[in-house]
Amino acid sequence: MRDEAGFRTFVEANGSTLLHAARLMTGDHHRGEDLVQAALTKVYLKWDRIDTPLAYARRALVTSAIDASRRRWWGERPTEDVPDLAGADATTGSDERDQLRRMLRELPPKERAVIVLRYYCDQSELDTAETLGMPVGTVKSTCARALARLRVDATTTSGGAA
Amino acid sequence: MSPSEEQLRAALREGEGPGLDAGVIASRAESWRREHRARRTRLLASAAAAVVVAGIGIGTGLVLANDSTTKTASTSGGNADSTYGSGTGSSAGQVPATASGASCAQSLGPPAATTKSSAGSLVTQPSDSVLLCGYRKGTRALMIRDGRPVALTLGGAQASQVVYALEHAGEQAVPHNCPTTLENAGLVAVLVGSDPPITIDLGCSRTLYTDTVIKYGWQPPAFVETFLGTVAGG
Repeated sequence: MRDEAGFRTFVEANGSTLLHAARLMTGDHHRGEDLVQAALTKVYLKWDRIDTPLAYARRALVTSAIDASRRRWWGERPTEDVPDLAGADATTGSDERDQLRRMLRELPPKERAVIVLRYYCDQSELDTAETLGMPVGTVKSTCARALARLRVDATTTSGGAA
Repeated sequence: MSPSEEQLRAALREGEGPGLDAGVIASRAESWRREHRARRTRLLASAAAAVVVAGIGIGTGLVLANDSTTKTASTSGGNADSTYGSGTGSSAGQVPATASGASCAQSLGPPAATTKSSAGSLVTQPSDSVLLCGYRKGTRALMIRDGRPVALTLGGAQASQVVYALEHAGEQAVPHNCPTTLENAGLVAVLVGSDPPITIDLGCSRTLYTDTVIKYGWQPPAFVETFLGTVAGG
């Protein structure tokens, strides 16, 4: 790799966001770390060939998270009693936020990915569609369905972040 | 509960931790790359070894198959081709033989003084192997060229064609002008199965005879002409 300094700068600038997004997508502290390391390893190996490393990293993250959720041993089973998040980043805020985070973990992987990309990574519907490799209409409908499950007042969500 | 979009964003941002160590990821990626390269090298080496082993196996198989074919041809008189290459004998020291075991005699005895009939048949039984041996007309000795008997083993369809030509030779000699150079042409003994040898005089009348039967005007198939030319040329 020719520009290792560039990669280090990229990780310093985006590592924490990607790590937190991975934790949100997997619903697990350690699996999130594994996921982001795998995604950043892919970025590192292709660093000289990719134009938009952040978009590439997000796509790798989402794809890996959804693929992993399809595997039997990583299969997620809805449960009545959702355990607390492990680690220091476990929910410590208000009850509402706590409940939102729990409900997020109960969403199907694709809906969860849409919510994380739209409301944590602040991606537009178009960028979210590109990252997930799905039409914008599907992103809209998936997002609306996820927000309904989260019982979030979606009146202000139509425009989306830039 | 009906939280707003802002509450959702806040909930998602809650618990953000410190960043990642780029060095750890870089070293992990380099390690992965090294393993990947080593694995690919091992795979290529295995594939190359497999190709070499397969090549040796195929080569050995072909050699063995070739040996087997050669042995079959030499014992059964071959199929469509001459076993002894343009009719000039077998390998050194080896006397050509048919499938039935008949081989070229070192010399032909003098013609029997018995009365020969042209009504009989020269070939009494079918055979898929025919051996033609070249002899000198004067001494009636087996021709040797380059240390090998001048002989031609035929099998399959070629043997059948030779037998057919023997069976369809004429019953009467047809007189015609003949160059003197052909008068002393060689003799050919044809061995068909376990029948007595048929002697063919390659002179102008192309006489064929055994001790009891005589025929004339043998018209051999084209593929034995080279061999006959060798015998006739001495």
